[in-house]
Amino acid sequence: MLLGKAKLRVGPNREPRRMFGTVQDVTEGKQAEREHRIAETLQRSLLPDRLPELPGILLAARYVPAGGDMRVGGDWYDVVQLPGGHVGLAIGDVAGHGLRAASTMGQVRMALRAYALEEPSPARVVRRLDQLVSRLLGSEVVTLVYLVVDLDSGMVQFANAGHPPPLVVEAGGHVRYLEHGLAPPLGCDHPELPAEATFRLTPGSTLLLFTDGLVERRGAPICAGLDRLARLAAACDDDVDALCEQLLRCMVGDDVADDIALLALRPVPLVGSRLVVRLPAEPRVLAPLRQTLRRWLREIDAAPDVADDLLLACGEACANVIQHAYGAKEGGLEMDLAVRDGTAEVTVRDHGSWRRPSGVDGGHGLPLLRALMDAVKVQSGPDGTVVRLERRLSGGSRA
Amino acid sequence: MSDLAWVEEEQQGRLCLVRVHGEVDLSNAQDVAAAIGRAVGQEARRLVVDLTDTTYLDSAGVALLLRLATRLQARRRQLRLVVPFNSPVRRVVEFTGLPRVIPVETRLEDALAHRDETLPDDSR
Repeated sequence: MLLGKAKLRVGPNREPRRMFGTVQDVTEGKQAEREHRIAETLQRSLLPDRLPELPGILLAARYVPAGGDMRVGGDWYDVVQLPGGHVGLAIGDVAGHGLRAASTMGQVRMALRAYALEEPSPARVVRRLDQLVSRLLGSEVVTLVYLVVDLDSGMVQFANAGHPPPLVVEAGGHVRYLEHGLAPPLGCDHPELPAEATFRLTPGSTLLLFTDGLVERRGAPICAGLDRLARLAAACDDDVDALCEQLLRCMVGDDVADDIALLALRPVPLVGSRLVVRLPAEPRVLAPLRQTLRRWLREIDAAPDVADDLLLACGEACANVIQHAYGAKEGGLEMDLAVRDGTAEVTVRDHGSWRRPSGVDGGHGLPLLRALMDAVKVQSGPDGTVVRLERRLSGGSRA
Repeated sequence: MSDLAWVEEEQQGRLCLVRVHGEVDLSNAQDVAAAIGRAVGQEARRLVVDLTDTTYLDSAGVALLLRLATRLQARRRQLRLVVPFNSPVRRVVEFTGLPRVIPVETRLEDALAHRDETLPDDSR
């Protein structure tokens, strides 16, 4: 492809004096630009198009491609919902740039999802990825940190294959990097099982995963970037979405030299204030709802038998909404949790119309709720149904 | 089946033991019912459903057990449940009156040892 440019120089009376011209072969440049566009499109299509909705958990992520030249790379992040109410978080970086890096990234990401569903241990997932990258993907080098978070207890297990360490920002602003659980990058065919480390993520703390593009500056050591990131993150008391925005703005600005992926997770403290959870009225939300309830019950210090009763009663009330409130229509359910004078108060609300005026399934639903709770009130109106449950937190079992 | 629950089966002659692991709710009760249905072979005369490793069971799960009981009764097969004393699903099982329909044992050994003489149970 040829690109021609011409300039005309004129005299005082606008008479043409001289013409300059250049003709340039821009084939390579155009091709490079095209490949950059394809790689960027491919990469975006390989990243999760939305993050899972986890009640009681704030999640935010960003991917910023490098500007201008061929620097679109193989950075990625992923959030995988695992059995038993666990969630897997991954962030990684494939060395190199362009189409090849983006496609390797896609393969590693899918392999991680598959292994994560089978293997509860992050170290084993990392080891299998190392074998995959070493044996099938050739000479690529991939760094990755993979964490499994137990949303109920806040326990986090992780393994780190040569990636910058995750940052934890505690609710009080104290920050620390998770420098344990270190193993060589993927693709080294490391013979040993990688190290694994554990820590507890307390409610209100933020777990921040990022790729090196966020902390690396030409001519500055990476530890300077890490220090700066820790300072900025400690000073920010916003929600996780605003935190990501602010970190990108302050750390990078408009000059994006390398691509950047960023993932933040924060368990919201459930105790103290009123907790409201809004979810679509679909069977798949029941398990994550129980997860939130278990965390709340733990935080309000409910005795195990009281916790089991509340878990079951809330589950029944929500299952009733899912089954009966909306027919074939889509709709939402709202659960409201509070503790007043030593009594747990749970309100489950919908905006549908029930097939039965009682509002609750005539089978086991309502009698079961009454057997489990100290008080059950059901109010049905044109705007929907409200089920109010109360259970004293002390005073032993009701059976 | 969903990630929430899975079933494990063991055939001992005419006895079929099905262990239900994990959580059973409205979202997966049908899948769990189908998995139990597949596990019970033609020859099985006695079925023991062990809920020792079931960490959550709601009324959709209870309904699946009741449907299973009705079906097995029509085919003259025995069904027993195992629910330990300290099981988190103990209360839902009791409060829904399930033991009035299906015999519930607290120990697996008792469920395995029990035989109802009124039902055909040739061999074992």
